[in-house]
Amino acid sequence: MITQLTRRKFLGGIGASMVAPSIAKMLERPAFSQTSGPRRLLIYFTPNGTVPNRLWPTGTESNFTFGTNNIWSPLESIKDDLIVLKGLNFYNADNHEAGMAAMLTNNGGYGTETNNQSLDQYIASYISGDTTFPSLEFGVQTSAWGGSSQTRMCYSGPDQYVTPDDNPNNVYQRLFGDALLSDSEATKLRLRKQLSIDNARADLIDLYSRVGTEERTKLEAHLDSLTDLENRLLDTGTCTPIQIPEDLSTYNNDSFPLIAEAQLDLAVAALACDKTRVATIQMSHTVGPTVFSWLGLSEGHHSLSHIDDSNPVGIDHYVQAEQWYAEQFLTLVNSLKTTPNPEGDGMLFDDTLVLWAQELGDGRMHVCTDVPFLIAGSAGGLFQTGRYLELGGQNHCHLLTSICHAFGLSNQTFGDPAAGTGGLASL
Amino acid sequence: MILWLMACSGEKDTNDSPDEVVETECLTDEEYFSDTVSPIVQSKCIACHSGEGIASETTLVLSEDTQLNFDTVSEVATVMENGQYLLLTKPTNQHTDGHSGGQPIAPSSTDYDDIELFVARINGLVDECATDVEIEGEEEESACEEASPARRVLRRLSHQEYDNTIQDLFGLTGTWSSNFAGDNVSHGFDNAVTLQVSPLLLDQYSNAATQIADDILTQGIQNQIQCGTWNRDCAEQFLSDKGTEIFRRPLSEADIERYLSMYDFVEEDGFDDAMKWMIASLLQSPHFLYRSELGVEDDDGLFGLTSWEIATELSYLFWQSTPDGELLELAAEDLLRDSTIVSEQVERLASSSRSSEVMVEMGMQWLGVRGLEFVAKDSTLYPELTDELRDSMSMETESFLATSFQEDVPFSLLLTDQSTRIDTALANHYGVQHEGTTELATVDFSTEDRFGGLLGHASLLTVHALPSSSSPIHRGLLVREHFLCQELPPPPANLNTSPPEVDPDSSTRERYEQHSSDAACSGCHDQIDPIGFGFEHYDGIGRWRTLDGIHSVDASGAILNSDQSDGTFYGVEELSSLLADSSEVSSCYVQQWFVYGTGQGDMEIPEVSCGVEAATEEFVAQGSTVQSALKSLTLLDRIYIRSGETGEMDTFAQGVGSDPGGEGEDTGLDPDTGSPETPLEELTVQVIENSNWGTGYCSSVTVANTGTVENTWMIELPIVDTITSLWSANSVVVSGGIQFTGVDWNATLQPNQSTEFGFCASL
Repeated sequence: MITQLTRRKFLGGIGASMVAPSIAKMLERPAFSQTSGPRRLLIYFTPNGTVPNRLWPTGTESNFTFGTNNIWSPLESIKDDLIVLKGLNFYNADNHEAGMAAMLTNNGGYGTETNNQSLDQYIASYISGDTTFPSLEFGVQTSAWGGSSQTRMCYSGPDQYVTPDDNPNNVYQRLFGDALLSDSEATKLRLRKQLSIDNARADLIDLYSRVGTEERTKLEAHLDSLTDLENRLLDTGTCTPIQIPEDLSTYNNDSFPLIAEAQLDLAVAALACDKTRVATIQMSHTVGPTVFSWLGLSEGHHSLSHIDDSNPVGIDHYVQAEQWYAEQFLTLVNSLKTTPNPEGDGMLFDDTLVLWAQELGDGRMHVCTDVPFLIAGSAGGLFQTGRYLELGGQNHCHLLTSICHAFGLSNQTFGDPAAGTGGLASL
Repeated sequence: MILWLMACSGEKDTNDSPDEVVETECLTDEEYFSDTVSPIVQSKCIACHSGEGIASETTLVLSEDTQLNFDTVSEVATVMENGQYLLLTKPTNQHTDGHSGGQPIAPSSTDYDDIELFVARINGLVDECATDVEIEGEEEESACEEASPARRVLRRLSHQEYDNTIQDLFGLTGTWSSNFAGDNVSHGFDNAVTLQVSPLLLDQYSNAATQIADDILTQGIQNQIQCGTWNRDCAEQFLSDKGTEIFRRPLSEADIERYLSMYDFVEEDGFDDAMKWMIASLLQSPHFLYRSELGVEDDDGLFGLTSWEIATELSYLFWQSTPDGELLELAAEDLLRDSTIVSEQVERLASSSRSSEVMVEMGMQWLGVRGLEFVAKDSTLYPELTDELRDSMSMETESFLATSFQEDVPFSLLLTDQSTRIDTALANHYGVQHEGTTELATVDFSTEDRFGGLLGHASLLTVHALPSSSSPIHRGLLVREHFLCQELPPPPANLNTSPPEVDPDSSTRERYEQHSSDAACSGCHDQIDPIGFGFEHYDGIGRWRTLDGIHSVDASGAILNSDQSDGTFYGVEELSSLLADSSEVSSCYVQQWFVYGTGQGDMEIPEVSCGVEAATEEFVAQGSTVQSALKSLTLLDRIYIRSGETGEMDTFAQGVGSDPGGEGEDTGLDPDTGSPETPLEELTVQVIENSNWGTGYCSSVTVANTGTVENTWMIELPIVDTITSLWSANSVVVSGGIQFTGVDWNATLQPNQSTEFGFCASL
C-alpha cells in the first residue's frame, strides 16, 4: 500500500506527534489481515435521547422481548441478531452538546491513545486499506445550523469535525461520478488532477514555512485533505450505480424521509463495492427540530423529547417518531442481509459491525447515563447475538474499546483514559 | 425577595466624596450582609449554590439561614486565586477556569459594587462606614494597552465570499457554494477565522473549480484577457494579469512556472483545454482559497500587512468580495499602508450601494433568521405560512437592514424605527393597509397596534418560537444573547426540564411560572422569561393577538440582571426603546460587527475584547450610526499591523502523542499519566521538495528535536526511489522506505535543536 504514495511528493511539515493523520496512517497502517471478525463498521445515529420505560426490553439476557408499541418494537423480528446494551454511561459528560461530543470520542485530547478521533475515524485509520474513501459520512439534515459541537459526531482530532454530506446527489456524484469514462480518458484525467493536487500542495508548503503554529493546523488539515483526494485518484474499482430520487431539497423538513432512504441506500452501496469500509449515517443532530410531519405529528422532535411521563399522549407521539427511526434501522439491517459483500464470500451483514448510537439517555433529564446502544450482527462471528446485556453503570469507553478490539486493534483505552481501561467483558 | 432586589439594584448612589456621610451606614458586617448582600445571593446564587443544587460541591454552599450564609460567604470572600478575589471573579465569569453559571452578576452593575464592598470589608480594606470601593478595577484598562496586536492569520473564504469572488473575477453568476458542505458556525457566524478545508470540501472545491473554468472557456476567454495569439504566451500573460487578481497579489516567478506547467501538461489537447485546467488549478490554490493577513516582519518583530493584504481586508469587509480595480491599483503602488488613503477608500466602499449586502448578510445571521426558510412550523395550525410568505418575511427584514445601512441611520433607529417596507402578502398577514401592488411599499406602523420595528418583524418572531406556539424562552434568548451579548449556560443535567403539559385554560405566562418560582430555575430564567413575556402579543408566526387562548395577553416584561439595561416595559415597543437607549446594547452591536468582520468571537482573549472596546469608542465618536460599527473596524491597528510567529519549529506545543511509524524512538511517555511533564523523546520532521525535473528530484529535510531529552535521531521516510546523492546524513534502504541518520556533527540533537540534510533521487 505504501508504494502507491511514494510518488515524488510527500507532505511538508509532518509533526511527528501532531495532526498529520493520513501520513501517520500511511506509515503505520498494518496490513489488514484479519481472517475473522468484522471487515466493516456502520454507525447509525438518532438524536435527543429516549424514554426509558418505553425502550428497554423485558426478560432475561437471552430471552427478552421489546413488547408492543415500544420504541424498539419494530425490531422484534430481528432481535436474535441484536445485542442490546443497557447501563452504559458517558464519563464526565452530560447534556446535549457534551453528549454529542463524547458519544463517539469519549473526549480524548492530545496525548490520549485515540487523540479525540471518533470511533469511526480511529478504526478507519486501521482498516480502510486502499479503499477509495477512508470513511464516508452520510447526513440527513445535519447541517442547517452549520457545523458545531451540536451538529457533529465524527472527529478526526481535537476540535476537528468531519463534515457529513447532507446531499444524496453529491454523495452519488462522489461514489459513481467517474464510473462513466473510458480507460484512457480516465488515466488522462487522473494525471491532470494529480498535477493540480501537486500544485496546491506546493503552494501549501510555501505558506507553511511562513506561518506560526496555529495557522499550521489549518494548512495541515488542508494537506491531509489533498492526500485523501490523491489516494482516491488511484482507485480503479468500479461500482454499479444505484437509483436515487432526483433533486431532493436538502433542508426541507418534509423531505427528511426521502433523504434518509437515499442515504441508507447509498451507504449500503458504498460498502457493497468496497468504496469504503467505514460509514456513518447521522440523522439530524442533537436538539434537532425535525417535525415528523409524514407521521401526522406537528411538534418538533426535540420538543417531543422533553415530554414528561405525566403526559401519555405526548409520550406516544415521541414513541411514534422513535419507532420510525427503528423502522429505518430495520430496513438498513435487512438491506445488509440481502446485499452481497465485495469479497464475494457472504452478505454484508455477515461481516459488518452495525452500531446504533445516541447521545443521551433519558432525554427529558438531559443525562448521559444509561445511554442506549444497540449492536446488530455478530461482527463477523465474534459476538454472540440475541442478547440483552445489563452492564450496571460502566463507562461507554469500554464498548468503544471492545469494538476496536473486534477489528483487531489493540488499544486499551478510548478517549479519556480516566474513564477506564479495557473492553466490555460480556462482549 | 423581589422587593429587596428592586431596592438594591436601583439607582446607584452617586455619592462621590467619601466625606459626605450618607444618612444610614456604619453598619456591622453582618448587618451589611443581611441588608444588601443576602438578597443578591438569594436571587442569583442559591439556585445552584445550595446543598441540593448542582454547585453543591463548590466552596459556596448556601442555605435559607442568613446567619449561616454570612459565615459561608465571609469565608469565601477571603479566598484569592490568581491574585483576584474568588467572590468577584466567579459570578462575573472572569475566573480563568470559567463559571458554569455564566455571568449572573455583571462587572459594572450595582450588585457587583455591593459584593465588592462586602469583600473589602471582610478583608479589612475599608472600615464599616465605607459606602464605595474599587478593588483592582484599573488593571483591566492597562491590560488592553499592553496587549499585543492581533494575530497574523489566514482566512479561508466563506461560502458567500467564494461566490461573490468568482462573480467579480470572471463575471459569472452562480451559487457554487450551495453544494458545499455546511461550515462551522462560531459565535453565531459562518465566516470564522478557524474555517478549514476538509476532504469533503476539497472535493467540492475541485468540482466547482472545474465547472467554473469550463464556464469561463465556454463564454469565451476573450472576456477575461486580450491576446494577439491564443498560445502559451497568452497563458503566461493571463497569469501575470488575471493571476494577480485571483491571488490578490502579483504572482512570483515560481508561481508562474508552477501554473504554466499545468498549461504545458494539457497543451496537447489545445489552448482551450489547457487554459481550463490551468484556471481550475489556480482556483484550488490556497493563495486563492485563503485571504492572507500575514504581513512582513519588521524590526520590532511585528508584521506589517502589505498593501495587497490591506486591499483584501477592506474589500471583504465592505463588499464581501475580491478587491476591485481601484483597490488593486492602489495596492500595486503600495499606497494602502497610509491611513488617509484607507479612509478615502472606506468612504468609497461604504457609500456604494453594494455595501448594504454585507449588512444584510451579517444582520440575518446576527438575528438568527437565516433559518426562516426551513424552520419547521405546525402546518395544520399555521396553514397561512406558505413558502411565499416566508420569503415575504425575509424580504422585509433584508430590505429594512439594507435601507438602514444605506441611509446610515443612528443605530438606535434599528430598534425603534417603525417604518418598514413590505409586500401585499405580508401586509395581509400583519393586517395593515398596503398600496395595492406586490412590490415592497413603505408602511408606517406608528398608528398600528403592532410594533413595526425590528423586534416586531414576523421573520424574527417566526424563527424564535416553537413549531406550534409563541415562545418566551426563544424571544427572551434572542434579546439576551443577540442584543445584550450575554451567553447563558444550558439547563443543568438531572433536572427535569419537561415543559408543563399544555393546559388549555392557562396562559403562556402561567405555564412558564415554574421558571420563576423554582429556585433551581430562576437564577437563569429570570434573565430570559421576563423579556420573552413582552412578546406575547405576537403568536408563533408573528401575528398580532389580544387573546392568548382564552386569556387576555399580558405583555408586561422586565430586563433583569443586565449590565446597564435593567428596566420594566410593556410590549415590544417599550422594550425596543429600553434597548435602544442602552450603551450595553450598542456595544453588543459593535461586538457583532467585530466578530463578523474579523472572524474572531472569543471575548475571553484580549485581542477580541480589547478590539471590541476600541471599536466601540470609535463607533461612539462617529455618532453611533449603523455604518459606523463597520467603519470603526478600519480605524483599528489590526488593519495595518499584526503579531505572531514566523515559520519556526520551536513551538509544537501540543506535541504529546504516539510516535507514528519509526520517525523517532519510543516517546518515553509515562503510560500511567500521559503527562507532558515526563521526559519526552520526540522529533518533528519537515520535508520540502526543492526541485523536480521529471526524471528526478531534490529535497531538503529538517529534523528538529521537539522533545525534552537529547535525541540521537533516526527517521524513516516512505521513499522507494533511488537516492543519487545525499549530504549531511547517512541512509539505509529498508522495506518500504529509507532510514536516515545523522553524520558525526549532527547525529545527536539537544532539545530545541534542529538540523537539515538533503538528497536527490531518481524516479
